[in-house]
Amino acid sequence: MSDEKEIRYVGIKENVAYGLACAGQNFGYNMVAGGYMLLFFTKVFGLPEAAVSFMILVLGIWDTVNDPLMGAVVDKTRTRYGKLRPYLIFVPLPLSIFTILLFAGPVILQDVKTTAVKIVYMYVSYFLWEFFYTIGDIPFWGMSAAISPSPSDRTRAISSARFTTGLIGGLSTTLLVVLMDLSNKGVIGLSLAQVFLLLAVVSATLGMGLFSLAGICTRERVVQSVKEPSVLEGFKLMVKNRPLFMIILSNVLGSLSGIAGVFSTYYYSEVIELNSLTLLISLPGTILGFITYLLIPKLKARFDNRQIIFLNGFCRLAVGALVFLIGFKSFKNYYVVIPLLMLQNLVFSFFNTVNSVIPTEMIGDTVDYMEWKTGERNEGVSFSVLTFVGKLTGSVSTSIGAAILPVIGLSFKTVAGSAETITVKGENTDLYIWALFTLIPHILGLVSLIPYIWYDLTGKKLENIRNDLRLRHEQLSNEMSGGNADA
Amino acid sequence: MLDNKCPKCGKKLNALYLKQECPNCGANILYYNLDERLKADAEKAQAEVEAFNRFSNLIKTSAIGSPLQIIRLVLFFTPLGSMCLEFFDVNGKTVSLIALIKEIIGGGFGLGSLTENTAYLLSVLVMVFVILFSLAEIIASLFSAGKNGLKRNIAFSAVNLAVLLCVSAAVFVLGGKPGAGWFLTLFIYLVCDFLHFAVNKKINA
Repeated sequence: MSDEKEIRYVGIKENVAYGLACAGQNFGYNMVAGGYMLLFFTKVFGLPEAAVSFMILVLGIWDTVNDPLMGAVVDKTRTRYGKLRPYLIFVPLPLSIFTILLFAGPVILQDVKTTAVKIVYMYVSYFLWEFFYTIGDIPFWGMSAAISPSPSDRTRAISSARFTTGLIGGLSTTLLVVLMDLSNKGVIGLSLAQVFLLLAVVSATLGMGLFSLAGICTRERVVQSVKEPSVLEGFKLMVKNRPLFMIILSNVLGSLSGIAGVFSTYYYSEVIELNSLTLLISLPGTILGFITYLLIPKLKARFDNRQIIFLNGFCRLAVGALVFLIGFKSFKNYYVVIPLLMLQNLVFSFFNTVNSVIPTEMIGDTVDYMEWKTGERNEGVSFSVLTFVGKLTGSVSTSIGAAILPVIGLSFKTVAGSAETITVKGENTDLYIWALFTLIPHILGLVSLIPYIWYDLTGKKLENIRNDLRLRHEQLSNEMSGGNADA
Repeated sequence: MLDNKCPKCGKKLNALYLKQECPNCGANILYYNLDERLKADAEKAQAEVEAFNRFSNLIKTSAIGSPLQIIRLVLFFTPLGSMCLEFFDVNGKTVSLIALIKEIIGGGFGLGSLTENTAYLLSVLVMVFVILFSLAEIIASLFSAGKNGLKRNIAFSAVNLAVLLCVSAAVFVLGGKPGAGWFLTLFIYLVCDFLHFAVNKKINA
């Protein structure tokens, strides 16, 4: 085997399949993590904000155990399909069932008046959805490191996944906001509960159908050790992985800036009162984001991954502050906010695209680092960090957002004798929502940069690690290719 | 894909058989002859990339290979502008894209308003056909540099022109009159026809 960096092992069809699988998976995930879950449980299901906030926090904490545990189980798996693919083949069916059940609550329990029953349903349905989502998500991202020994192949796979997700995976929230507006204005004869259920059914069928491509159309090409690490060893490896720990810490701190997503939803829903405006505003960013994927190789040629992360953080703050100040007096004026937010979205899309590829690739680098250090590859545990932190930050952000709602004077009250809810706001609630959407998250985001000061998998060190691993892989595959299962 | 036989001895394996070792010969199914399989993957990947590059070069040459192709591509979209001018005059009522959009937003557009006047219905249909067939012509033009590119372009263009003229004729018979937008759209179609020949000559030069 010659220089692995130059050789391409993953073809276009496999890359496209991996990308479509990610899009399918995210079609349903975006409805949960795209900032609409809180709105669904409070406004549509009619549950108290405190109960929802607590549930999201509790199950978010459960994920701190569940995700790494699943990662360790994945790392221990050895089958003839690999250690990741069996889960990707099995999980789409149960995940589709529980996606529907998660959003079916308001329809199934429409005649139930007892709040306690609805709260129990919320806990059980969310827990089961989360459980099966984890079983699929960790192996999926682990595949980005196992799909090929070539770093370029991995970058292409991750880029394909992120790009296709941006294009198709986001359709669920696009359709959601349009249908919500049409429902609110009485144009279509569907209630909000029925809108969410309809999209859940689409996600369960079309989305999970696409997600199944990950198990069927991809292959693992990186040699794993024959000896299976124990679950405890898997956890120990995660603790020893210092660069990974820095990434985890940064992402956890980044949950503070995640409230932007929560308050973006409330800004369009309760301040501007036009949910579908987000589609127009995100249009330039979507187009530019597509071009940015093509620029990633050029960016990586000029900066290393750590430098890109720092650049991202500081530029976000500068742009966010500018947008806040310009819109300070006019955040309800369409003629001001539409071009302003479109411009913000245009600039942010560049950094969002890069930010969606680079940290995932960095985790792959930490998997290589641990293999170089200990001889064991642990895609499962390492990428469980990615998924667990993503969900934890999403949960923490949503939970913080829910906790802030009464502080800024925003609440929802059910009209007596009907299923309708009305919005109650304080005097300056709209301004607070504007600040929590544009400025405050990016100030808090600077805190997440601190751990990267100690991240050192760059430059010469990373190059030496890859060279060593290339030689070891050649030796290991020669031993295995003799058909000797005891190598 | 889901491989169903041992790479060493060829024994057929049940899809639900998960163990790494072949039950027949004991070979490690996943990693047996890994070097050879990686080489085969690399060759397959390279072939796919070359095929994709050929396809994307075809599209690039057809769509934006020279200033002539770019002008043609832009011209395909101009009927959207020409339809904003007065397209037909039906019994004193202006039919154009802008008038149609205003009617839809104002809530006055519906099945009733369409069917009450046949000439009006046909004039709206002409505009719908212009949009749909122009889109089809754009897609066909992306393959101008391919086999039978010119014949395909001329065929789509001819259908486009025929539909415009025939349905418009019916509007005129029922008392409608062509507006500036209609004449401009007809002119654009004829220029596009000429450009198909010019682009074909450029590509084959």
